[in-house]
Parts: sequence; C-alpha cells; structure tokens
Amino acid sequence: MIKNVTVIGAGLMGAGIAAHLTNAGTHVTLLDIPDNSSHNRNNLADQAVSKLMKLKPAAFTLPKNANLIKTGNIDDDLHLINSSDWVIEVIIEDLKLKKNLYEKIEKIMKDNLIISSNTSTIPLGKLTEGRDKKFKSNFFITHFFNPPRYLRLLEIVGSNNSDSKFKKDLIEFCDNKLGKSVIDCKDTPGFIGNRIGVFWMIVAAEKAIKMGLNVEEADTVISSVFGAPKTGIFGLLDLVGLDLMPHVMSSMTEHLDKNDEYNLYSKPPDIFDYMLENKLIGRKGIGGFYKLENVNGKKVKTSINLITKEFSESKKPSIQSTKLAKKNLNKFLEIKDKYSEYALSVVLEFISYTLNHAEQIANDLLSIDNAMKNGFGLASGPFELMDKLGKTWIKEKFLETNIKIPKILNNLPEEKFYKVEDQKLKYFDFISNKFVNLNRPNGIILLSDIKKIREPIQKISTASLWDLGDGVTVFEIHSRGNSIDMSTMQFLDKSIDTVSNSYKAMVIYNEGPMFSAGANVGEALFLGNIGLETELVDKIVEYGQKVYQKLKYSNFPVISAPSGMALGGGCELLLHSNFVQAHVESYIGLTEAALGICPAWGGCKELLSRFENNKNIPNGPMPAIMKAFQTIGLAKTSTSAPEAREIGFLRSEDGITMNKDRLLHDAKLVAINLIETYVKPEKLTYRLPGRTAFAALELGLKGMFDNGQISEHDKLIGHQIANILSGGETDMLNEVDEDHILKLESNSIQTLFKQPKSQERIEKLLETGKIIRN
Amino acid sequence: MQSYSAPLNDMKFIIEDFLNSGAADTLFKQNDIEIEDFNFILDESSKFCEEILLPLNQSGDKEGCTYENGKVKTPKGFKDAYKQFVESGWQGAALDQKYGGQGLPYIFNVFFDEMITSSNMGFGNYPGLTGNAFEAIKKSASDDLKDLYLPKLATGEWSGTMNLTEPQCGTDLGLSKAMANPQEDGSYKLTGTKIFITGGEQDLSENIIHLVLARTPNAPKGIKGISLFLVPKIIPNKDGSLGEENSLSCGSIEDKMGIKSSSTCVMHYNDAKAWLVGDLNKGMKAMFIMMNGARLMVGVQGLGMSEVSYQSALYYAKERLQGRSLKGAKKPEMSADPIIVHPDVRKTLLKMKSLNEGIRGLIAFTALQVDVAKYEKDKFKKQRADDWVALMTPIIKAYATDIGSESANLAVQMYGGHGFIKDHGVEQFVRDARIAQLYEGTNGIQALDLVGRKLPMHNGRLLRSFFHEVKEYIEENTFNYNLKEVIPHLMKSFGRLQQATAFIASKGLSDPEEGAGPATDYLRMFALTSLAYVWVKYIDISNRKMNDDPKGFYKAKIATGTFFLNKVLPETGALMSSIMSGASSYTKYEDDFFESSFS
Repeated sequence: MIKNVTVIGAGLMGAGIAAHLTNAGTHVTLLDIPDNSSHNRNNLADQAVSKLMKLKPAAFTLPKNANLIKTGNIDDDLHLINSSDWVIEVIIEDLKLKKNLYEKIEKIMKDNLIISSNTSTIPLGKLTEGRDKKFKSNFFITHFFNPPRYLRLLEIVGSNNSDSKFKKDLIEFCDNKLGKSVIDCKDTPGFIGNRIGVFWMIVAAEKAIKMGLNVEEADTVISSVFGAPKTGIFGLLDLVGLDLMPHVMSSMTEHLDKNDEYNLYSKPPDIFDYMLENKLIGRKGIGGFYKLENVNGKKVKTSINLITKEFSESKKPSIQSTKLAKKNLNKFLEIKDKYSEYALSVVLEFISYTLNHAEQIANDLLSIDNAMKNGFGLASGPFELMDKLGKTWIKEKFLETNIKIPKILNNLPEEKFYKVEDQKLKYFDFISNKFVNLNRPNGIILLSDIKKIREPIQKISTASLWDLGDGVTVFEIHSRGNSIDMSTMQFLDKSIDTVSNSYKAMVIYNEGPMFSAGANVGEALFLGNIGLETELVDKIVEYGQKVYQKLKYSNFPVISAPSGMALGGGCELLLHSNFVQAHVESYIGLTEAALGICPAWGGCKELLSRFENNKNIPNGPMPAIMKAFQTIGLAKTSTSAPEAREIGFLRSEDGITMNKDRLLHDAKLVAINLIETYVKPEKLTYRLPGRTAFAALELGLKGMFDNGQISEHDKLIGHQIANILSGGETDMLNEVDEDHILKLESNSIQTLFKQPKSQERIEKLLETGKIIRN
Repeated sequence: MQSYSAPLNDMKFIIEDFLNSGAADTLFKQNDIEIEDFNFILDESSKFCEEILLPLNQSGDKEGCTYENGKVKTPKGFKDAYKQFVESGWQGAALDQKYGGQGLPYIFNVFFDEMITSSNMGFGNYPGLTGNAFEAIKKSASDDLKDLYLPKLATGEWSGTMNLTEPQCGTDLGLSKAMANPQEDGSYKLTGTKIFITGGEQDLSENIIHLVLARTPNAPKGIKGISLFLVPKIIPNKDGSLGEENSLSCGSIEDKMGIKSSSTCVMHYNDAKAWLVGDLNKGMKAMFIMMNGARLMVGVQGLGMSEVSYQSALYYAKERLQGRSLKGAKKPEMSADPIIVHPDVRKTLLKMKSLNEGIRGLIAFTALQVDVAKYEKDKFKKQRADDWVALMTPIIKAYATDIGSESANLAVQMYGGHGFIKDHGVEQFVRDARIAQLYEGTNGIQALDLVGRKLPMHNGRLLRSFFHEVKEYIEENTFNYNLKEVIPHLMKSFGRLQQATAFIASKGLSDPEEGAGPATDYLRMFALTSLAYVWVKYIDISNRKMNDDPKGFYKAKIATGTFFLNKVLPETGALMSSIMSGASSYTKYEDDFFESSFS
C-alpha cells in the first residue's frame, strides 16, 4: 500500500503531481534543490506550493490538501525518502543530472522503496545505466501528463529487472487512488503518448504552414477531423508551451532510430524560431500563436499570420465542409480544396506512422487509442479513426500518395480493427494477427461498451434506460448538454415505473462531458415566449417536482453517479437520489439564480433539510436558512466532489470515485449493497419562521444592494428565494411538509420567469454561453 | 369599372382611435406634428392619387413601357404625374428632416403607398424603392455619400433601385457573380449583369441611384463575400450637379403579365464607377435594411390591390341589375334587383372588406413599431418593437399579397363574363396583383423566413412581442361585458396558434422538414389570428364610441368585425388540422408517384 510519497523536483509538473497525490489523501514530501540565495533553504519547494494554491484550473480538489505537503531540499532532506513508499523524480530532462540524483538515492534507499522517473522521452535503460540490481528492480517510469489532476493518461514503463509486485502496487495506486488511465508501455523514446502525439502535432503544424492555411483554419480542420478539443493544433501548442517543443524534438531524434520519420521534422519551421526568440511561447507566457491584446480597454484575441508574422484580430473561419467531416469523413477528405488536402495529408502521415511503429511501442492497439484519447483529448484514437475510414479506402489512399502500406494493415483480415461478435467486443491483436476479446480490468464497466452489444430496455431521442445486470438499471441522459426537457422528464417518469415493476435499482449515469446542465431552459423560455405559461408550470415545473418526488420515494434505491457539471435541475437530481457516488471531478451547484430564476424542482426544500440536519451548522432555524440562502443566492458551484461535500450538495455518506472509468462499477456495487435492505426515506417536515426570517434575509439583501454588491434584479431574485426558504406564510409553531415548499418554489419561479431581465439572462446564456449581470 | 375613393375614414380611425391608445401620440410629438396636420396631408395625398394617378392606370397598362436604344419610355402622362409628385414633396414626406425630408411618421408612408397602389400600382413602383434606398444609404454609407445623395433622393429628383438578382441567382444570392474591383481613389469599378431591376431605367427622374450587390476580388465564397455598392446612372459632381454618364446601360425590358407601366430592366454594368456602402462583405446586412422595408411595402401593395378590387366589385354589385332577391323584389321599381341582394355576393364583398380593414390596422400597428424602435429609449420596449417588426414583416408581405390576389380574382368573379373583358379594368387587377406574391422573396420564402428564422430566433423572443401583447389583452378583457361575444373567437384561434407554434418548434428541432412543411399554413394561421386581435380591438373601441356615431361608422365597424370573426377566422381550425397531422404525407411521397397519372 502506498501512503507516503516523495516528489523530487518542484517545477510545474512536480508540484502538480504532488498536489494530485494529496487529492488522493496521500502525504507528500516535496523536495527541490536548496535555495542558497534565501535564508529559507526550502524556498523553491515552498514557493511551488504557494503557486499551486493560485493555479487555475485548481490543482487541489480542496485548498486544505496543501497541508498534506511537507517541503524540503535534496541536500538536507534526501533521507526523508525512506519514510515514503514511493519516490518520483520530476527534475529537468537531463540524463546526467538524473543519473547523479539516482546515484545519491541508491546509496541511502531502503529495500522496498519504489522509485520512478516522470521523464517524457528518455528510455529507462539509459536512466538505470550503472545502477545496482536493487535500484533497477525498484525503478519505473511513471509519465504523467500536464496538468496532472486533469489529464487522465499515465504511462508506466518497467524493465526485465522490475519487481512485478512493485509494478502491480504502482499501477493499482495510480488507477484507483489517482484515478489515472494507466498504460503499460514498452521502453521506447517518448513511450506511446508523446511518440505518436508529438508526431501528430508537429506534422499538423508544419503541413498547415506549408500548405498555406492560417492558424484558425488549421485549428478548425484538425479539431473536426480528429475530434480534438477546439484548441486544434496551434491552440494546443500554445497550451503545451512552444518552448518545450525543441527539447522534446531533439530528445526524440537523439534517441530514435536514424530512419525514424521524426528525422523528417528535425528542423523546426522558421516561425517557431521567430516565436521562441520573441518569447511567444504560449499561454504561460505573453501568448503564442494566439495572444490577448488590449484594444481600448477591451481584451481582443489576436492570432499570428504564419507568413508575415504579424498579429491581427482572430476571426473564426467559416469552412462549410468541416460539417461534412463529422458526418462522412471519407467524403470530406476527398474534396479537392486546401482544407481537405491538408487534413488528408495529416491523417495519412499520422496513421502510417502509428501503424509502422505500433508493435515497437505498444502491447496492443488499445493502449495506443487510449493514449491519444486520454493524453491528447482526441475523441477517437488512431485505430478508431481508421475504423471510420475503412481499410480498403486507406490502402487506396496510401497507394495514390506513394506511401508504403504498413504491415499491420496488410495483416488485418477485415475492414476494421474493432468488432462485435457473439455479443462480445473484440479487437485485432497485431502480435498474433487474430481478433481477441476486449476484456476490461476488474472494477471497470463502461456504458459505451454495453451500448455496442446490447439494446436499451427503452429509449427516446434524449435518454435511455439500460439493463446493467443483477437487477440494476442505468438511466442515461444523452441530450445536448444532457439537459432535461419535457420529454426526458416524461421518460424518467416512465422509467421509474419500469424499474419499480421489473428491476431492483436505478443508477443515473452517463459518459458525456457533463452529468447534466439542468433543465432545458430554452424550451421553457420558448413556451414562456408564446404565452404558454400554464404549460410551463404544469408540464415543466410542477411535473418535474412530481417526478423527482416519485424518484426519491420509489420502492427501489436510486444512485446518481455524476461526473463533470451537475447544475440546476441536474443538481436537484442528485439531491433527490438516495445515494450519490460522485466522480472526483464533479462540479455541482444550484445555479438558477445566475439565470434570474430559482431552484424549483425541489432544490430549495432538499438543501434546507440537509442544512437543518448538518451537525456543523448551529442549531436553531436561522443558521440553516442562512446557509441555504447563501448557497442558492450566490449560485455556489463546487470545483470538485470533496468541495461539493463541504458545501453540502453531497452527504458525508455519499461516495467519491477517483477514476472515471470505475464510476459505474462503484455505483453498481452501492446499488447491489442497498437493494437487500432498502427502505424508502421518510417524508420531510419543516418548522420554519416565516415572515420574521424573511424580514431578516430582506435586510441582508438591502445591505448588499446599498453597498453595490448586487443589482436591483439580483435583489428581486433574492427576495423570491428568501420567501421560499423562510417558509412563506408560516411560523415555528406550524409544521409544514415538502409540498408546501414545492408550492413556494413553483410560485417564485413563475414570478421570476416573467421578468424581462431574467428572460434576457437565459437568452444570453443560450446564445453566448455566458452569464450576464443585469 | 376601376372605382376608387381613398379609405380616409378608416385611416383616420386607425390613427385617432386604434393607435392613439398606444405610442402614436408620443410619436407625433417627437417630430412636432399635430394630428390635424397629418389628416390634412392625408387628404391632399389622396387627391393626388384619385385625380392624377387613377386616370392613368388603365391607359398605362395598355400602352406599357417601350424600349429603344437603351432608353425606356414610360406611358403617356407618367412624366407629368411624376413631376407633380416631386413638386408636391411627396417623396420626402416620411423621410429624415436632416436630409430634406418632412419627418412624418412612417405610418404616413404606409397609407400613402396603399393609396398609390390602389390608384396605379405600376406608377407606384418608381418612387416606391427610393425611400428604401434612402434608408439603406442613411444607415450604412459614409457621410460623404450621405451628404451628396440623400437630399436629392428625398426630393425624388433622383430615384433609387435595388439590384440583387442575376440570371443565375435569385433566392440564393450567394451565387452572385457581379464583381467590383477597388480603385486607388477608394472607389470601385463594377462589372456584371443584373435582372428584374424595377425602374432600372426610365424617363421620370433626372438621375437613378442603383444599389448593387457584388463581390470583390478575394472575397469569401457565398453569401459572406457579398458587398453593397452605390452606382449612379450619372456621376454627380461634388456640389450635386450632374456630371458625366456612368458606364452602365439598360439592355432590355421584360414583357410581363402585369404592372406593364413599370419598367423591369436588364442592367449591364461595365466597369461602372461604384462606391462601397457599409462594410466590406457585409452587403447582405445593408441590403436587408432595404429589403425589410421593401417587404413591408409589398405587403402594403397587396392591401392596395385588395382595396381597389373591393371598391370596384362593390360598384358593380350595386349597379348590375339581374334577377330578384330570394325574399321578394327589393327594387320593384327597377327591371331587376342589383346583385348585391344575393347572400353569396354580400358574403364575398364582406370577406374583402373585413380583410382589408383588418390588414390595414395590422400594417399600421407594425409601421408604428418601426418608429417606436427608432425613437424609444427604453431597451426592452425598443427591443419589443424591433422584434414585432421582424416577426410581422414576412406575415404581412405574404398574407396581404395573397389577399390582394384573391380579392382581384373575386372582383373579376363579381363582374361575371364582363370581368374577363379588358374594358372594365378589373382583369388588370388580377395581372397586377400577382407580382406582389412573387417579388421581394416569394410568399413561400416568407413562410420559411417565419418558421425557419423568426420562430427560433433568440429562443422565440420575437414571438413574445406578439403572444404577450395578445395574451395580456385577452386577460385584461376576459370579463369585459362588451366583448363577451367576440373574445372567445380570439381566444380560440390564439390557443390554436400557441399549440401550433409549440408543435412546429418541437417537431422542427428533430426534423427540419417537419418545420418547413406546414410553413405556409402556419403563416396564414398567424395572420388570421393577428387580424382577429385587430378586429377585437376595433370592436372594443367602436363599442365605446357608439354614442357619438352620426355616420354609423362605428356601427358598421362592429358589424364588419362580427362577420370576420364568424366567417373568416374559422379557417384557422382547418389550418390547425392540417398542421397537426404532420408533413409526412408529402415529404415521404415518393418522387415517382408525381408522374403516376401519366407515365
């Protein structure tokens, strides 16, 4: 079991790894070289920790995790490694320096200390040259991707000398505790991710320059062809940092075979040199291919002209054909214009390189697809991309462009690398040249796998209900933003009946980029606009309340398993679940107030009840009301699952899963455990102060308004929320039930929905994705 | 016989009673105009239409325009009429005072154009586009261009045209090929051919200012690479005097079904000197200002044609003696009763009349919103007015022109075989009214604009301007005793429209053809419901004016409205059934089936 870890090297990467280790509850010792210029010899490590606190996106899931880091310097504190179970070296990519450090470690290390390097390019064999047997057996490469909290890929490399138990421990820890998607790599330069990924980047960048595309055009094409994030290629280079490229490239060419295709790109494009000379290294510096400039007090995004090197306002290109790329990639790549010709040449070079070196760098094609998806954010890996195109088509294109057809492609007996046979997922094993079963490790269930082999129990265009076996079902939302519209709510209603009659539990889960953005406010706004407020109330607000109540008080356990954003109505779904198993990266909040409305699917009543029962909140009616008022009024949103627990969206008994791939399995286990003994919760009752509490909250609002902290409209929203939380017309002698508060929620949202400024907020959110203050 | 007296009573009712409760009052004050002055100007303008234009309508149709050596000759009498039009200052009546206009509310334009169309639609097209060209230049052009061109356009000494269509590009303007090459002095040289150019060449105004869509070298492909240019027939000197002729010509004129007195030209631009209006590649934005105004005005033409058709039909229904009333002779002293005694004849006349009065109110209310959007300071009120205009423009354009055509045909029907004889002049209405359903975007395109663009825009925000207006009115008047017979009609068709809107919006999201399929039905339903709203308000106002009604105007209003609500509005029920049954019966109809009856 790994409980204590030492990280050596407190640069951006080392510090980031240290922070993420604390997110897993691990104690960390962070060492760097002593700072002789300061009276504090640990200055470098200390500074790194304070920088971590300010990092955006946050490195810590909770700020207090920083307390788990102990700092030091390698001259005075290297001996501390022996109170750790694992030491990770994250110093600069210099073989000599690394070897020096290892020599020192070798001298003092205990027998069972696991050692690893975070090198991105240097082969393990070179690193352990001259080390003794024990060191070699304990030594691995663990290659994290930046930022370590957020990028899921972790490459692990061992050698023939490696201790297999240590390797197992390490993989298990990185997978379960750090939540990484761990790939066992061969000891080759750049492993899988950088070997293939950096090649992809450099090819995409150079070809764009050569073929006369501008920065935005290249980014748009790359993003739509490869399903890459919007950053495309040049935006990605800005994110990674252009300054890293020469190091990576020279390290690659140094260690790679002289015939390797990397050598074709050993001389970087002129513009790279120009940009490095002018410190245009990317987002961490003054900007890169894109740069924010101040024009009349406004920030304007500019981009560099790849030929003239001048910056001008960045404009989104309109390339009609990229829509085709998503629908029919083959057809898009056959268009005779510079965009398609560019895309085709990048695709062919990328897949040819992958196929030529796959055997050399990976045990199977799954690792390669996984590395490109989890390390570079591509929607599909190279083999999945090839499956879209088909073997015959690819071979034809290779022939047309005089590219030698790679062996693996000739060996592939069918059109695609993946297939479903006898209700089993299979993939082509390029070592045995046969299709083999795709078996996920224990503890991993993916809905995407299930979808390939099974039909849902029932489905509509925005949601489906799946059978997960053992009486457990999965309710999956798959609308845009996974928002909940009227038909989805009807489907949930129907699904509750289905599960109640024929199954034993429901897990609410999906594998989209977010759990749920909440109610489909566009639909609500449209109904409001055409004057159908009665339908809005009947079919959206009050019907939604009814279905969520039905969900909560059904005769089976409901387990929500969120990952990503769960906002508004999505958050209320969690609040009405009997248990929540959340992925650590869950961003939860009742954000209605930001849109000028209020929670009205029971969010207010649930949060109020939780705060009343929270032992950390003082007794008496007011503290709970105040806390709920602040949480809802300020639209507080958690930046992690642990923070959601601190705010109160998750209960202390709700679970957190670090590895997203394990979330569904964990939720299913919870469901199975609950099924046997499940009793539905008791109905909630409240004693609320009514008018007196309302007056107190109003006073607070007035103060904030007078101080200019909130707008007139914010005050109006606050007024409505205050009315709900104080209980409306009631007093402490009176016990009210959930329906009483639900009615207040419904009344308030009706009032707020009619406000032109609320409508303006919703409209702007839908059109620009931005929250406005008015 | 072409019979026409301007419907001044109705127009004054709209101004004084119907709109006065709204923002009209403030609007008049904005430009220092008294309602009395407005009414006086209206009277004068109606005389011009009845006395000068109407007598030239049939002769103009018969003679048509003639083309010779690049010159176009308008029919006899047009030149003088245009001269009088300019001298009386009619062109600038509703234009900006800063550039020589008189700053009347936009409603004046709408009323005046209706009267011009009723009297002589062919003539009306010459000055018709000048006002829209004025607005487009004012909104988008540089100050130099504005100072040089606007004053002359405001007087009508120079006229304006809009040049969009090319032989290969009609609705899809992205296919435009006309090319403008930049010159060192900042101007351009424009080359290309434009067709269907109304008033592209004529012998009425001393200069013609063409607004032309063209692309520049290296402009992006399609609609995003189109710019708008100003190309004068004669290049003016800096002081506004006429200089040398520009390098452009009229190649021929079209031989058309109707509006024969209006010249429809093929224009050739051959390195013609041109100036950019608005931003490069933003031509559609600038042109839309002109087009939206033009679309509304085409709707007004529909109303004008429907009004003159109605009056001519009424004239004949009272004159023509045939047979006897089914309930015994009404005019025993005569050889027969006039045909107006027959129920079906009365119904036909009332259908035309009630539609005309309703449409007139809807157009006037919309014209008022054009001015509100211009002058209002409150953000949300301004937005609401803008939204109303954007929403109602396709509805008015398509529905009013459909009715214009329908009424013209009904007028021919009223005349029986005599309607088919040219001498009576009503067959001309059928030929003239037809074009309004086609130009400025066919009515099918208007329906698609409504369903495909206006409905989803800002998540239905444009709809709010209409639906909330009507809903609030219904809520306020649910217990209005005077309206107890009429409000239920409005509620019923309004409810249908809400349901149809929600249905189309949700269907259209998953399948665009399900949205586009019922577009025409939906537009018609929307128009009828809007008219129901206008009529209920008319009746409400008239009820309150009954005590002071010497001429029986208000009594007639209530009677006409009652007819409309009971006999015309129920069409929304049929439209509803058609819409709600979806589009699959024709979208899924196999292509081969269309030929099943003959091949």
